[in-house]
Amino acid sequence: MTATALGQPNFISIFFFLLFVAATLGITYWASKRTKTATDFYTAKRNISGWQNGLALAGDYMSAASFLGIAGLVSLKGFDGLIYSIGFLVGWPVMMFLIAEPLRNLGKYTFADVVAYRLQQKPIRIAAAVGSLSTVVLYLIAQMVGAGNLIKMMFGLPYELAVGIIGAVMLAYVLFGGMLATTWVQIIKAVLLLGGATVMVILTLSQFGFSPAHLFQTAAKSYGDKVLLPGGLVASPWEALSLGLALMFGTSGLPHILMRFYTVPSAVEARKSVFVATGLIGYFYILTFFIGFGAMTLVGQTMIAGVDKGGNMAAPLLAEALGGTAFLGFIAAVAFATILAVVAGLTLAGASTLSHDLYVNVLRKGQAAEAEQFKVARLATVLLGVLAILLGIVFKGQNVAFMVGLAFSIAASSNFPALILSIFWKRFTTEGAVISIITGATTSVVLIILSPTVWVDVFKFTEAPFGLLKNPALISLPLAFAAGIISSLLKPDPKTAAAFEADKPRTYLGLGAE
Amino acid sequence: MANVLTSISRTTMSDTKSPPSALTELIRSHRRVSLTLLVTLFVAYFGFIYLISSAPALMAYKIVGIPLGIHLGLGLILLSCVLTGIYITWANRSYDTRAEQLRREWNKKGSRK
Repeated sequence: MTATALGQPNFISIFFFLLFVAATLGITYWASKRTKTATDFYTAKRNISGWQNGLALAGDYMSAASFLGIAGLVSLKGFDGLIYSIGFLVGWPVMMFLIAEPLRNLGKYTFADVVAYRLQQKPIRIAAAVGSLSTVVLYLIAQMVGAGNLIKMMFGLPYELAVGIIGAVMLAYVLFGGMLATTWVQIIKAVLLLGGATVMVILTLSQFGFSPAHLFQTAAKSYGDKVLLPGGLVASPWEALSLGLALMFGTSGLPHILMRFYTVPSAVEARKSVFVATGLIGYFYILTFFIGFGAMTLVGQTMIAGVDKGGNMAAPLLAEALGGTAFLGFIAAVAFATILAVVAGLTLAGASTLSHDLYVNVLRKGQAAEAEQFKVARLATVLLGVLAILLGIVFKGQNVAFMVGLAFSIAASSNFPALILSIFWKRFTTEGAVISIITGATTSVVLIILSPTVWVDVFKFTEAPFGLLKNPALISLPLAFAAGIISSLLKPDPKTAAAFEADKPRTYLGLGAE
Repeated sequence: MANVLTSISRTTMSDTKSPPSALTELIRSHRRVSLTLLVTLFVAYFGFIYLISSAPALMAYKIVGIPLGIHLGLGLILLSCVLTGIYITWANRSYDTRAEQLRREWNKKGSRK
């Protein structure tokens, strides 16, 4: 194929997109009538079933970056893309084994509820908010900038307008429909994305007699056996180990994912939702691998790299090659919907940190009335929505590729250790938690700035002072654990240790859980 | 409401002095299962990373026309799903039954007070 309809206003994609926006705004209207209190706003009345939450978790997690980015990476590099996919998946079983149930039993709205449960509220809330907000904001910037670029590429809309549309629609979902609307947007988006990707893979395989081996052999014939084999991504095993740690444990520290566990009625449903989400996300990454190879063989690397150097348009181009402008329009609209759903989840998580953790529990010392909490939650949502749009515009044209990696690194080395230690370690103290969170966050930020990822790729200096690792988790994660453990042992707190024993019926049996 | 419940459970806990051993048992078996599964996943994932970075030639070995590396990668995705499946099956069958019994005993004790 030589020409593409990408980048021109495409009536079919605009139609599908408007249909999606109209349907989701209808749901938002319905949800707004059921969102009257802070608990409704943050948790959808804790009335979402395990299956629904599993779909919504998948919808929250499968970002446009992983759909377009990983398919693109596979289409240009082959096998290496699979290494990323696996990393993004292995965090889910970890969440199942360690976090999901106690998190649901101990918390109310945010993961900081769990860390602060038997420790002193104020210092923990402030420290956890630093970890939580930096994760959310970094992720949000990466999503907004990615969204602006993608929409510009797909629909030919100006960048600022695209960012503005995403911000405004997302704000409408969260502000009026709260968690209930956000959940349904994520569920619909997950179904559309999984459905669209499945059709793409079936159509691709149909051209190869439904033989994956034939598909891979065709790819190898044109581009050499190297596309089927590990390449540059794992040139340094330490590098791969560090990225692997960040992805594996960072997933369990993502505030927008953790927040979803409070939407289900019990730990049993929380567990079920992780199982569903793991299956769906695993299936999705298998699909993206085939989509990547489909694009490599049916579209061709020259064409893919010609449209976008990073390969981000591989999946839309494949859709066009398989099903013409109509299918391209559908997939482009799905990508748009994907961005909306992820950004809405992030904004809701950020707003809950601002309002529940900082305003209610720090400023008002937990004494705010229900109506006040609800009002502040929506105020925080507007603040974050506007911030998202502004950040999207400020970071236009910047290299933001490192931000998702940094968000995962902070999540893994700041949020995750504090959560794990507070759930499983009796002698964990308030000071230990604060020091651990701050150590994890600062080490991540400082090391990544000094690494080639930012020092060379963003600042354009020639040599990075810390050239060892592109992702700092290998150092920052153990350091955060060590800092938390050592400072807790140096200054023990018998009171919180006693509370640990007393809390076990709630942690493990759900007695008294909200 | 939550605070009341918590304080109730805290006082009943300190009243009985030693925590019920059945709960300790339950926590122990939970830890055993989740750590076993976690270690399995950890070894499989980092083993995979180690293999592809240190033995690329081995990864080229073809089975049914597809290189071993792709089999292992897709297999790892499957393994993640299977391990969560094992956990949830164990939790539904073993953990929940025992937890439900403990909850009932707990509530009985609570209502007698």
